[in-house]
Amino acid sequence: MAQTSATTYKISFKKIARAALAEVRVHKKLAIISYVLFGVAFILAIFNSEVYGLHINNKTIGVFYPSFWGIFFTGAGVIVGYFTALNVFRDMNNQQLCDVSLALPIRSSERFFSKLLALFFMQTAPLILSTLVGFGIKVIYAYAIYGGRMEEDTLESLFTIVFIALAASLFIMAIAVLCACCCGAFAESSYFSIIAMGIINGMPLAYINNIVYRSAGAQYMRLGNVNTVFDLGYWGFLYMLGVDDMIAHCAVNCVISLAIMLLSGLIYVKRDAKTVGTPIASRLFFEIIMFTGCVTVFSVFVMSSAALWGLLIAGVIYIIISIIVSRAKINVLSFLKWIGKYAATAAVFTVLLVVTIKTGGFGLIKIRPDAKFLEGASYEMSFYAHDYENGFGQYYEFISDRLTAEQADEVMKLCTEHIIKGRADMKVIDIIFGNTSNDSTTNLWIEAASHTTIKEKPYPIGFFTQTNLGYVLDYRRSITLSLSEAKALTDELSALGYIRPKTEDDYYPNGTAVSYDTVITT
Amino acid sequence: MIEINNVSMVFAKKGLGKADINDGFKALDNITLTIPDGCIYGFLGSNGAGKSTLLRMLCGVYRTEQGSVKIDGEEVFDNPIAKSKIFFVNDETVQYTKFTLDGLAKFYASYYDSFSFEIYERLLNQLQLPRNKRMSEFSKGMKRQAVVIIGLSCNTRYLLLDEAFDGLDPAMRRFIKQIIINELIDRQATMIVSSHNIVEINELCDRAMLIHQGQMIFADEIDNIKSGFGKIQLARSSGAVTPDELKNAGLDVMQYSVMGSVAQAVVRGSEEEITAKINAFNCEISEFIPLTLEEIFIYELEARGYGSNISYNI
Repeated sequence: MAQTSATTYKISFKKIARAALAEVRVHKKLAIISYVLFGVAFILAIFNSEVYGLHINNKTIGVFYPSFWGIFFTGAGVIVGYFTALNVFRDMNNQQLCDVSLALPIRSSERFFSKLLALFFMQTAPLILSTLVGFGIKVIYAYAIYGGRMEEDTLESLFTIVFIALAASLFIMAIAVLCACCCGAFAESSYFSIIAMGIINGMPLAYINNIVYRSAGAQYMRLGNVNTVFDLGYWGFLYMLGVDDMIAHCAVNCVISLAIMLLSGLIYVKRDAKTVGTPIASRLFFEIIMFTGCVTVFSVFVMSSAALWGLLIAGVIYIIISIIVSRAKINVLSFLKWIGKYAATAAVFTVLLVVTIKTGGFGLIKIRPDAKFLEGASYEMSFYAHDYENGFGQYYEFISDRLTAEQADEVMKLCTEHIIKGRADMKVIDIIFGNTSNDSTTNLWIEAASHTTIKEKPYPIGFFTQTNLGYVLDYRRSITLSLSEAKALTDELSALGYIRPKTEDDYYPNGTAVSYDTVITT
Repeated sequence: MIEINNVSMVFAKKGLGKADINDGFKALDNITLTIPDGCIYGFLGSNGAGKSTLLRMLCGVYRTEQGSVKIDGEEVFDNPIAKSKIFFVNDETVQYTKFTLDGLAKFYASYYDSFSFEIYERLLNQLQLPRNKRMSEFSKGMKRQAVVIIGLSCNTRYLLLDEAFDGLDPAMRRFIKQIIINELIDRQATMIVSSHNIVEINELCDRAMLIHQGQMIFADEIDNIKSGFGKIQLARSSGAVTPDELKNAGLDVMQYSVMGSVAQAVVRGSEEEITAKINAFNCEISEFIPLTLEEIFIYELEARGYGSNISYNI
């Protein structure tokens, strides 16, 4: 049914701007708090940032140190954005405000954009002003003092600060707006926002780092280096895509956040007051959050002896959230329904997990550095043969001399083949529950390094480390597999002459030891 | 003119889930109503009958999923042109507590092109409310007055008031009503008022409708409503007139009671029609008593089982 027949009505920016200013007036207190915080940040950016002169080769260049407290207050202002966004979209979870808002003579799309514009006035504009102009003034001052001789990456540092703050602010607001649009109660909007932020940051890191990479034995890939505390939501994916430039990351982050806001707009314009007051307005949203939340918790604990704890912790959180969200009377049937849904979630995750393990991290196990980038490489590998029955074990260590690119590639190829076979010998259930320490299994550790640098950006980037002079090979594997296959691999590589047992000479000149027995203490 | 055609509305059960027509709570059930221009229309109904839901639908707060709600021929939901003709005052005032009165006026002036600061100043002078004090410091009655001032200042053709006179003392109630009526008469506007106070509806409105459990019981001019019901008292020495006799005589009996040989009943129909029918019983005393709107309200709802199962131990 066509709900709007106002064919003569035209969407006007003037009306949106007027409504946005009205919205700012309604949330005057939050706006003032933001302005105060960003204002202090602005002042500190100018007066607390420092510029030093660095003497190199009889020349003095300026070094810019941004004010820590300026950044701190910018961060505080960004956090206020969470409360601002939730409050600006409060009409989606408060019946009285919804009555006022939805009865106003303005299209829902105009109302939505007026709210976004209000957020821009209250958050984004002062943030850009305080960071870009505040730190910018200090940088310009530094350039003036040192006659333009500033450290090379000074401008990059400036824009990095601006973009990180902007990306963080937009991310926080986008998630809060999405949750406000998908929830019908303020409590759910608030805590689901925090849960969603945690999931967006935590899930890719937990699943990819802990499951995909471990299934492939590639523990030292780029994602492992992401600092989770400062991760702004989508970086995990960007690292996987090989985007390692901070400003580019932030720019993509900003675009994704804006896309999330627009997606929220589609939900906002479709909602009326009917779902206001009910905890969750969008069942799809709720199910996605519950599923991904469980996946995040499972991913943290799985493939270790704490896997069952993960199942228990996720289950308790699942039931508690279900109880909170269900305002209706709770009965045995409700509980059974939740437990059933949780079991289904765990089952889906298990299927995903088994697929990930069986495919060696979706085929990641097969990926190795492209030989065309290599001039040569040398290897070290080791594994430990347990002998629990007798209380003894044996440690095997191997080393290669400098191999050619072709030889290095063949070593990696053989490693991959034996690792795949060695993984196939193991029971998936043992891998899932971390029950992998026995006499027939071992953890194989392989490390390859090149000493020559590559100027061209290599692919896949994850196997290389960037240095000041270029990229160097940094290929590592650490994976549990059958002992027989680990031995088969090292036997084959030894027979081909690529590796030899490590001697003490490899540690110390004139050493003698090849391998050594150890006593397992229990 | 406001036209409501076959409007139904179902709310999902609390908690998760989408409203199912067979499962959720049916707040409105096939309501059809026309509200002509220039009238004052009263919405009567029991608690939770659907009055507020219908008002919210009229101002576009709820989407009409079944049926249609049109204002001057245009659907209301998400239609700024239709909504610019309406101002809705809901039954709460908590949403305005952040504002000062001047702030609230500015807020609505940002949205309503028709907002008149001249009316605002005039009404403010009449009611003497503090203009720069936060409304959280206002009493409930003052908040009500403030919202009415804003509503009238928006200068819309339709004013929707949901329990708008709650919290006002009798003198202020009367004063506010007079202000509203004067303003509305001046601009030939239409007002819809929902209230539990039937005396108020009786005084204020020229038309009314009664809604119960989402279903419309009647809607008409108040005089017509009143003339459609009556209470009869029949005394017959040969024995009280029984309900069956009344029904056989073609009377639509809503309530019946007997004390000795005197039967008392509330029936539907015009005075002439009822009188003609009761004359056939040859009673020693037969009397027709017109009902007040309040009595009609009570008997209609009692006839539907509302409030009739409450017993008091005296």
